[in-house]
Amino acid sequence: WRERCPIDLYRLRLTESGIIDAVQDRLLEESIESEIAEAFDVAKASPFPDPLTVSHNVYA
Amino acid sequence: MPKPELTERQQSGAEGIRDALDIALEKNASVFLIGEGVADPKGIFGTTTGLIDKYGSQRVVETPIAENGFTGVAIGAAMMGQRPVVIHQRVEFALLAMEQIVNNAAKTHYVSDGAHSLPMVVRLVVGRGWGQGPLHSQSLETLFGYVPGLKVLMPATAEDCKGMLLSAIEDNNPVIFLEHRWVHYVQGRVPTGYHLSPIDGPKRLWRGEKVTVVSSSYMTLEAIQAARALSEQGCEIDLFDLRVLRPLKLDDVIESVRRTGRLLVVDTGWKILGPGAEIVAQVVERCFEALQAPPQRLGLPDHPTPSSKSLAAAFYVRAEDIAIAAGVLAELSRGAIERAASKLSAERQSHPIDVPHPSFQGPF
Repeated sequence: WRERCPIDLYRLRLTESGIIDAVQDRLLEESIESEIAEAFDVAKASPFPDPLTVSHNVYA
Repeated sequence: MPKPELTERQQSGAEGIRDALDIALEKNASVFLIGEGVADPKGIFGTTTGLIDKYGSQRVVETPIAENGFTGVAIGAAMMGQRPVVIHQRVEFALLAMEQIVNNAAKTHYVSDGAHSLPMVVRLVVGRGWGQGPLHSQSLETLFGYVPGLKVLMPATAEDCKGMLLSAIEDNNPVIFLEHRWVHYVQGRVPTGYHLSPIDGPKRLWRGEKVTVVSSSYMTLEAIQAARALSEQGCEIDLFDLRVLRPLKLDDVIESVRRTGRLLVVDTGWKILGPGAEIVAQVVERCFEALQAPPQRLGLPDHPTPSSKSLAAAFYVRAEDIAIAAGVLAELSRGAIERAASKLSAERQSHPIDVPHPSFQGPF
């Protein structure tokens, strides 16, 4: 089943049909990884939420 | 001479629901309907008839039998600014989409700390009558009412069928709109045009001092019959149509119990763990000292809906059951209770089992 990984198969379909090339694929992955890394940095640097806000935003 | 803008029309609950959808689709281009049968000529009991011809298949979206999938589609669309109305012909069909509703719809606003809202309405129909049986007649408001982040509405009048649905579509939260199949037949005078009924709370439909009665959905129509019969015996009940199960606001009910000292709750679904359980708990917590008798609840017995007519006859709570329970709580004389119950029972005998009683056609 690992040989039929849908994510790998889809990457293959995109690259074979010319919709994306290997360079674009790598840049895409790098930009997503840096977005995640930044989110982690912001989260670690942020204070914990105020317990008084725990019931906020249940409803719009 | 300027024409008055607001007029009224005599119409059914189903017509009111269709009106609300038509008005909403016309008024706001981001509203769309999605579900199984929305484009079908039968028009989901007359509630979507002709809408696909008027608004096209991009706004009245017929779906394959894929409830979990199309509910997810609607949730995604709502997060991106559309205002979908998901329609299921039976409450039970939504069970296949419970994870979408409970996890994704109900929690999006909270989990995103308010960044995403979820303006979605889910219309569900509670079946009743010949052929429905255990899998097509369940009133599952408790399941949805249990979840913070959802709103749960149960219209019982023709006006609320239209006005509360319009309010639900305007609301920026996921709203479960529970329509009892027999409420589709209720008649009433309803304001024409863009008429909103607020999503606030219980509405008093009968005023009295002897006992507080809270009913919801179709049971409100039975309760009104009981109110009439008891009134003829000199016993006036303080009857509330619950209308909104979540958010549950019982201030007016508490005020009533402080006067009457007695409470009866009538649920459309099973008695155990129904809305009555929560209502009684809150009343006991908030005005225990005012109670003159233990609160009572009526609801369905603790087994699935039977299919056979011989079994269905005894399954459902009827107006006479409500009159008896309310009469006993109000300490009405045995003779008066029997007269009220007999009258209601006699009215029912002339009518086939398993179809809505023709007398439930207001106006109230």
